[in-house]
Amino acid sequence: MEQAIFIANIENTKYVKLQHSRLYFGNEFCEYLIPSLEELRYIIDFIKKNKIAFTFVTPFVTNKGIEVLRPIFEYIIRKYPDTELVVNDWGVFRILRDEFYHSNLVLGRLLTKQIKDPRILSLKNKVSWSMKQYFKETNADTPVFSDFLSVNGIKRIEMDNVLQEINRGGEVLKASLYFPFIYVTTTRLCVTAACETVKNFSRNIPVCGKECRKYTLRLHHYSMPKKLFIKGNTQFYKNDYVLENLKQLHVDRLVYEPEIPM
Amino acid sequence: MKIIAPVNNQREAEALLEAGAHAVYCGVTPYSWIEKYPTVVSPNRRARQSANLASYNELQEIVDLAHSKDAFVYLTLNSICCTERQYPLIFEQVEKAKKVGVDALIVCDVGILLTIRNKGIDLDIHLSTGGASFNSHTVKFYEELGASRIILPTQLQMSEIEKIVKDFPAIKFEVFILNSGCKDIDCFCMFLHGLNDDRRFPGERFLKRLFLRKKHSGCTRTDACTLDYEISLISSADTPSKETEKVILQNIKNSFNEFFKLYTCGVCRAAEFDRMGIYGMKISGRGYPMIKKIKDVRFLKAVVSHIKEQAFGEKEFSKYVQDTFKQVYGMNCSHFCYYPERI
Repeated sequence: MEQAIFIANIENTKYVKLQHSRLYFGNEFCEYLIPSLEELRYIIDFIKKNKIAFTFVTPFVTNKGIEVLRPIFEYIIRKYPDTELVVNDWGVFRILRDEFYHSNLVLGRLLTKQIKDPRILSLKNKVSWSMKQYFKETNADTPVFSDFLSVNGIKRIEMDNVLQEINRGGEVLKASLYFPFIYVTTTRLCVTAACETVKNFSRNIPVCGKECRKYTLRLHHYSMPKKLFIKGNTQFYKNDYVLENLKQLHVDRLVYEPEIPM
Repeated sequence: MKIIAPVNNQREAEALLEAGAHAVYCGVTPYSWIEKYPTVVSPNRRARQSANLASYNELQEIVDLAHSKDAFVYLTLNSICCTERQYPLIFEQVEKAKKVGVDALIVCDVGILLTIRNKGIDLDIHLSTGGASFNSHTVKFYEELGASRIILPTQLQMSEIEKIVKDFPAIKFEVFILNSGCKDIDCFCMFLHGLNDDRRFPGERFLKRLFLRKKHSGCTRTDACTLDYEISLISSADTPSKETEKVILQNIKNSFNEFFKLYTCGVCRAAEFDRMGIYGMKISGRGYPMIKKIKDVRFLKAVVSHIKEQAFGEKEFSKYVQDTFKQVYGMNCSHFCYYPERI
């Protein structure tokens, strides 16, 4: 089982241990948190020094975000062509496939759809067999989708260590399992951006001061069996218990998140 | 610009087409689906039965009615996660839709898109907001998979919408307008929708109570984005002052209350959408009461007619829209806008 570690800022290289053979770096949810070239240089030096593999993680993006990513892709593919690239945006996937001809791609958590509502635990014995199966499966395992991914350079999917367990079988792609922080939802209407000043509420995309790097919030409601965390524009819950039958689930990589990767 | 309205039944379709809608969109949950997925899991992002047609017969009636008025009908099959087991049921719907003469399918799951293409199904494909078309390359990706129309996500700024539309003169784009101002990105939200933990207030009655502006303190919200959470700050890089902590917590708390607004609007942007070349404004809210939907269509119709008839500045147009809002709904605009920049 490959042991990977996922960090979102360079200070967290402190968490990398001997058992980690791969480092994930980047961001899935926010184009304002795409690392700078300087940070990338630091990370690439780090992985070369420590002789570990590298996975660069990219978010969903607007047209502006695409232009931020282009020079980063040029740099990474030139300096470290073995880099695995996680895509959470079909536009980014298309650029990597058609402009950079990069075929070491991974389907990120945002595009690998899994139902993740913690309240599924409350429904456990009250729903049909079909519904129980549905909650454990992902759309990326359908043969037509899997084939498409495979033919287009995506050989792996990223999954969350959800509470309701996972059901995979047959001819499916290899998968990584992220733990302990499971993402549930995200937004561009970031509630953490500009949170230190009183807000006059409207549906706007606030000016970002990367307040998410300072603050983590916890949400509690009696109907939620797990507390939720907000970091930046994304909500997560925590599940430390990792399934034991990972090999049967075609999961060959664990991606450990020492902190919420924002 | 066209007005595209949500419908739940034939009577509504008749009223909305009469009010001025150019097209209607709807979902169906047939018995074959309910047998396996009686609740919460939907082929079209609306689990509540009241938000869907009950049968293909009803769909046929709506299609016949719409076509008699030169209007269109789009069937939503826009679940963001379709698993292999669901494919036979989804494609049963696709075959029925083709048979009854539906004008287009609204989809977003890539596996479903690929299968429609592989089977050579000859129906127009509209890419749902669930496709997360936040940039031009994503639009191109879907165009290559067969989409002829893109429904843009609601969390785009006006300049971002303009750039995308400009890049694709041959594709038709729709924007959402009115109602359901959820703060999370639909296609990336993996919470369950349609849970109801309080049987006193099943979906429709709850919405009717809000619409009728009675106090709703007794209502139970069940969507995860609207729950009344206890919020605490659990870590920060440096310890904020008590005052700053209070402000942070209040802002976060407000975000869970403020975004769930029945009268989210955006119609002040209609003139700009028209100038950009947006094809249609899609009214959100399949589960809403008929009376609200009729008012929504009338409101948009008045605004679209005004755009055609007159030239005007931004402020003047905005005033016209707000005055018309008041005439139609009997209350002032709450300034809770889908596209709030600069207003």
